[in-house]
Amino acid sequence: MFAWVLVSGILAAAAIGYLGVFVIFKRVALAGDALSHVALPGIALALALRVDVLWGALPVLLLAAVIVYFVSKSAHLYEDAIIGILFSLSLAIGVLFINLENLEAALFGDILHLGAGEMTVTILLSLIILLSVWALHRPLTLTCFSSDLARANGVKVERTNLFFFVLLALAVGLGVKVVGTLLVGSLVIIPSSAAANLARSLKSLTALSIGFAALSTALGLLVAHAFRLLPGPMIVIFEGVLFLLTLTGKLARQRAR
Amino acid sequence: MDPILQVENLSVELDGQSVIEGLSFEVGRGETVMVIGPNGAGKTTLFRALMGFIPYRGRIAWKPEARLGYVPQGVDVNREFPLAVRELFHLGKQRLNEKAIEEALSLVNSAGLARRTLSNLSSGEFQRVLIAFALAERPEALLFDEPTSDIDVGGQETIYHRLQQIGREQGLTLLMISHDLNVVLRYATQVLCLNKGFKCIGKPMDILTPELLRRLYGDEVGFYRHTHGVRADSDSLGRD
Repeated sequence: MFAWVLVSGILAAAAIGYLGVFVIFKRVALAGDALSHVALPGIALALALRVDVLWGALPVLLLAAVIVYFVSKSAHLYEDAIIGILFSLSLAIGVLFINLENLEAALFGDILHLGAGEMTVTILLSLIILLSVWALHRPLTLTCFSSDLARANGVKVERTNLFFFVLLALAVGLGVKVVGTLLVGSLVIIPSSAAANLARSLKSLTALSIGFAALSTALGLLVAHAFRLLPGPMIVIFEGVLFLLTLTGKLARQRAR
Repeated sequence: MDPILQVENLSVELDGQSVIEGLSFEVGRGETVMVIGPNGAGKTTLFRALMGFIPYRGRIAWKPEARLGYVPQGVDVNREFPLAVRELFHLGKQRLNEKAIEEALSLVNSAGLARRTLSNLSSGEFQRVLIAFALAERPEALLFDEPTSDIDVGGQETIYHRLQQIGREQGLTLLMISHDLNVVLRYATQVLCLNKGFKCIGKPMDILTPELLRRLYGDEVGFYRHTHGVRADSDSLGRD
């Protein structure tokens, strides 16, 4: 059973790590964080309806993704402020409606207690996200690099951005199961940031980001399982360690130059 | 003249403010059109309208099926992205092989940059890569938005010279935003000047008069200060 938990966790982390590459270079790290907190009211709803939390989290996340997309599109709005408001409001509503015994799982994840059905959904969704990002990597990369250059090369920038936020919402939904709403933002940002410290090409950036996400999830789950700790925080701690190591490597390389 | 582009009564608004109003001009195939004007005059906006990126009123008619190349200004590009130069070329419309990438890069004297990372290039190298990327798609017209600063004048002269040569060899039409009046005088077949409501179009010799430059940039001619010490103030143009 634990082997399947490992597989689901690693695949979900890999999917999030892949998207994270585009999150940090689109400079929408805050949006990723906001999305994760939006999951909380969805989880509350799912608990009230006695369905799997994913079915509560996903619709709310998709709705939020569309909101974030329109906010990021409009130059007139204070993007950061609006995303910040969305973020804290969802957290407040969520915490208010989730009872204490479920709150820990909602905030920090409960991947060690996934049922067989939930694991199947997690694995399938992870694979769908990984394949979609792979299929969209050309327009996504060009849009990140320069939206005008993307348009000049026939990329539908608006549509690409909408797809991106929808995929991010799905990935965050998975991450919520693995590390919980409070920490899923770090799952999006840390592996890709660590990869960016070392990468010299998109290929290595992608491979390292996915690799770091998978590695820290595997290590975090194993340690948490062995010592009966919460897996979410453990995973994030391993990611943090990887980030510090790569940062040290980057600084050493800069000094050597 | 065989026109590749006809613009009639073009008006563009940004955030409810009129940036370009009632602009009309025509560009013949193989011409080099330089767009000049102070910062905020709407030069980049004009290019973005010509490329069809933003809504406009009036008429922009490119020759049917004309292939357009675009070189954005450095500030509109995410230079932190650790993308290898050759990976950028893989993202274009046509999937170029290694040899074609080398060829495109050597067109702008940048052979050997293919394996470098974009985020590690100098501003000049970076710009040449963007030009090579645009040229690799074999455009009929190239729209080149020159950055205001950052790039050494010597390298810049070479790039204009090179583009001019490529233009002649391949019948490429060039539309460039330039901040260097020496370059404009030397290479432009047509000059388009923009400043809010004011605009003018014509051959460089005919329209680049001290009076026009004062009208375009104001009395202070502070504009010339960032042309890296090149003497291009209105007096040294030597024309009354």
